[in-house]
Amino acid sequence: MPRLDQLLGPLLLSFLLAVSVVAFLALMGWGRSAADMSLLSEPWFWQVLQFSLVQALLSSVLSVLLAIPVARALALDTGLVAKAWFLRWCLLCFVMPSLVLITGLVALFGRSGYLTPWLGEHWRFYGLNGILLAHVFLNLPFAIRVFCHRWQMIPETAWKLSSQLGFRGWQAFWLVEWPVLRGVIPAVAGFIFLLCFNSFAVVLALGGGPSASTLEVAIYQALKYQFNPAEALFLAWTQLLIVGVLYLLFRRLGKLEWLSPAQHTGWRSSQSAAVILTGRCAYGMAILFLVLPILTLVPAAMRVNLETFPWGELMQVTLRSLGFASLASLCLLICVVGVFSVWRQSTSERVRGVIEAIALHHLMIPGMVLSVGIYLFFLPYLSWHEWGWVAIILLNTLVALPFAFTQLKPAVFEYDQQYRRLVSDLKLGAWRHFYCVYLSYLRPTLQRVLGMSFVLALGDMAIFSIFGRDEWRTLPWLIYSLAGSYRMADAALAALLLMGISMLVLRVLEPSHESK
Amino acid sequence: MSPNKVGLDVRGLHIRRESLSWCYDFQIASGQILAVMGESGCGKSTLLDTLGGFYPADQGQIILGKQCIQTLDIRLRPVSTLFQQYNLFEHLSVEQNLKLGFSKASPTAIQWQQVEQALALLGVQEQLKRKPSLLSGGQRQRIALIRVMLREQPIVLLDEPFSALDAQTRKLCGNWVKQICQEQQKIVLMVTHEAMDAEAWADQTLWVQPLQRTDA
Repeated sequence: MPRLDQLLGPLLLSFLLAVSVVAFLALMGWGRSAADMSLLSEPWFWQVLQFSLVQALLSSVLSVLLAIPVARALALDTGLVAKAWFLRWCLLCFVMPSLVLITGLVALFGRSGYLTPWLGEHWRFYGLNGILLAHVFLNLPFAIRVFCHRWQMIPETAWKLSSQLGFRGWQAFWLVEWPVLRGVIPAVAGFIFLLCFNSFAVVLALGGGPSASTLEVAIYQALKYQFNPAEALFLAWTQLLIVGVLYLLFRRLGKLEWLSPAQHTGWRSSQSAAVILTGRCAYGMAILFLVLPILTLVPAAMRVNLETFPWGELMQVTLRSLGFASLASLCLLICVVGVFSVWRQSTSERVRGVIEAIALHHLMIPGMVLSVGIYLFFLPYLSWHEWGWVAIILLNTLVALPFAFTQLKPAVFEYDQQYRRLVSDLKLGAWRHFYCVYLSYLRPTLQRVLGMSFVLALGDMAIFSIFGRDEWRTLPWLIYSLAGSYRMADAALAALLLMGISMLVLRVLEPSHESK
Repeated sequence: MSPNKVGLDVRGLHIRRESLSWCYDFQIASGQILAVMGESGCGKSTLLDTLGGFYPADQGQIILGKQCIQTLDIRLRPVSTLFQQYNLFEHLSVEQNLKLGFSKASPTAIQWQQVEQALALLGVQEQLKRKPSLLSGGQRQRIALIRVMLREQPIVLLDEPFSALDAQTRKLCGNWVKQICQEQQKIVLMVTHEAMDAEAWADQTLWVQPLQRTDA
């Protein structure tokens, strides 16, 4: 590793910690404002808390239950078409900018949506229904990928053995399949629960009032609509405590594998026609559910009035969004490579554990809580009006760091395991080793991390909601405001653009087969 | 060892690993091959690890010419090793892997010519642009052997260099190692299980045997 790194690494780690410490200081009331505890006696607070928990619970249960038949069909039914394509689409759905999806769902199920006439008079899209639809759309694909991966992990010999022993139907399921699934279901459900509990854009766009609002949205409203830091602090504390405790709880449930490509499967025992048919139906419905909202954007966007469409603003906003996302994902890359350079230098398990904890601790702190802390801490000293962009880039980097770290860790570990002695023996210079050998080894993983973090930052609503401003919007916020002023066709067109950019970036940065 | 030849002199080298310990005293002249033999698990690889700097010795000296090298950092030791596995970076082409053996990863024209001659002689010249994962075990072993032998390091440590080769290729490679060793005046230590290898190419044979089992 370059010598400069030896200094930069520890500096970087201190910086990562400092950001959280500063946010905590703000939450502790170190600045001017303290948390407003009187909210505990306000009924609306309890209503918001209850709704946050209930929608997250329903979203995770629904996502997991619906994913099981689809994943099973994907893993076991050799006759399914377009599997590889579907699994790639799932990856995109999971990181899809929420506003793209929301616009599509509104075009399908909203007041004048394409499907609304068939849903009966009592159908209400806004509120719990819409939020659940969006959350299941965003998280079902993740669950499908994890479960499918688990099913594929069942060794060929287990299937052969179960056939020879004459296991059928449920018996085979309980004895062969359930044991590999059982371990991972609570972890998937827990993870989805946390994501939905921290959901911001979906609830902001589709919720409303305390009966359909979450803590994240309430924090945003307290800070930006009412400028009530005391209330925002109290809500942020609540959010932090719940997420922190749940994270520590769920972390024990196991590690999830979902990004690795589909595996080649060997011999599988034959299934009854009814089971195959059910699986195929589930697969077909999943495709419909995951594709239709996005496909709907095309006819919706066709109705756009080309003369009144804000082309100039769209161009400007798109460039700004691209700038933010590029800088955030590049910063992330530098950060994560830097963290690993310190991690590799240390041979002590304890030091490595500390470094890992520093890199991962942002998982426990929701982006909104971190944003509120940083915002309030520096409010007396600097103008966020001018410097908000720095915070947007940095915080988008930080919230993606745990993801990047967990993705890279196995690769770095394997590299050291296999090549540490060879690298020493070859006596390559630090820079030559770093650039020619090490980086090129990590390149496929780095590319994937870069692509996904770019798309996540591109779709960010929460961090921008605190530090951004109206006259300085990003693409998701432009879509939000267009949809909010009932310009659905304009919103659909902008959403298609956002979707197109996301797909393009993921496609370009997808590691090629050769380099795997 | 003739006194005018720069050689490797290992004096009273004490090594301990878990409950086993060894003491080594031997000399090898430049241009000679020392076969290192012994039962599985008797400490052959540990000796190579110590010479390469990957495992510390308790006491003793490793002297190359007039320089004591056992205190040198791994990166400064004049040693080139063929490990039992992981000799090639799987994500780099054979050509890139070979070039990494030379200063600044860019061999001189003469050095590269030697590499190409060796590739042709050992029958792996077609593999230059491919990734190691597409090669057979024997092909990988020959590529790694070429890099290890042609690097500008006086001491070469080969840990079972022919284990994946058939009899004919084994002979070809052994002869080539012997030839390079003599031409370039290298000091080669070769771990092997085959007495035939030692007979065919080695100038001396070292039988490795632990001193005693101490109940640590």
